[in-house]
Amino acid sequence: MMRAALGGDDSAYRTLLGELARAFRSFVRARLARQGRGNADIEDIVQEALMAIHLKRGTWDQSRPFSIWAQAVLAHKIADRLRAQSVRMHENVDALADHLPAEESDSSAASDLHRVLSQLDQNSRRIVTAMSVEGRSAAEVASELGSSEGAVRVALHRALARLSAMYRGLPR
Amino acid sequence: MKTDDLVRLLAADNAGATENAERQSWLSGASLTAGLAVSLMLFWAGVGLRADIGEAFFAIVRKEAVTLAIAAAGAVALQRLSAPEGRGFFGWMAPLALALFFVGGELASQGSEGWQARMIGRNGLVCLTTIPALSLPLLVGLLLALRRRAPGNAALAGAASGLAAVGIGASLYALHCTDDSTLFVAFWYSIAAVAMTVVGAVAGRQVLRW
Repeated sequence: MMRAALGGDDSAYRTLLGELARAFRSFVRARLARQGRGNADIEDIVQEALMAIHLKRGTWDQSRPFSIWAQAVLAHKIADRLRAQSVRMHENVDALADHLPAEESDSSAASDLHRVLSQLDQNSRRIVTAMSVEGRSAAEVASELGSSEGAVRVALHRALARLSAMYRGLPR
Repeated sequence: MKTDDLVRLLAADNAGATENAERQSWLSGASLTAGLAVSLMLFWAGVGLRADIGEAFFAIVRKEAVTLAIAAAGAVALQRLSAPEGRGFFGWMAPLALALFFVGGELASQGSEGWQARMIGRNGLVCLTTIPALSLPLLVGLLLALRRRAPGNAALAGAASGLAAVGIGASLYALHCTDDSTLFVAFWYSIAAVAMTVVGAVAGRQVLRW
């Protein structure tokens, strides 16, 4: 299916990403449970792994099995996250006393993707929200912003690459 | 943002995947070639061939066998480690075995008399500065190329880049240096190789994250 997607079949790609999201989610949940961690980060890790799959899919060697490659990308992202967190947990032991009452926050507003999205410039953010949450096509967004479809596509691609880079800079 | 929204967004960005992959691999090739070109220019402009290159032919071949084996081991390891599912590689032991074999040969044929003097040689410090200097541009080129791929382990991939780069750097330097004792090569070249491998690993950890 990834071969079809790379060949330009957008709907095959979308189906594939949807299936990956489901498979990743159950894998991450099992993995975090084994580590004795909560479920708060599952969706962040899944999203980050999907973004990495998207941006790095051109490096996948088509003579090798895609599922193993995708699994390795996910493992890479999980390891990244666990490493960052274990550092943070050590730092937090000292700070615990200062922050006793921890407030519960709305999960979608607190998601990492949401946080990095707010750092994008206004135009890119508009394109990203229109094409994701509102589900509009590049052509529609282009006519609304008064630019060409190609320009919107390029802007979207750059915004995704920037989002992924910002992910890595996030405090966790 | 919900994951479904992200999926929709990524699918909308699918156009041009093949062209983009081609451009990325072209750019990797370009940075690799540029790094190698700078290393070669540094060699021609600043180091140069030794004067007695004809007479020392066999000594040079012996040195090149070890340094090119280092470069090949680094390159094979790099090839493996550049993908997320890439695993470690122990082929880098091969140049080590080759070097030990030559050291044994030299000790057997020339005796151990004065081995310290041959090991220390005349150009040790020149060797230690020139080899890293010649390999550094290539290391930068390799790391830039690797950034466009997806190495599963940034430090290991960086170390493999360092090893490949120092193999080429040492191969160039071996065409210049007039210390032909295998003991010299085994001692000084190894220090330079370990140093560049560590530099590669440290740099890799910083720049190869994705």
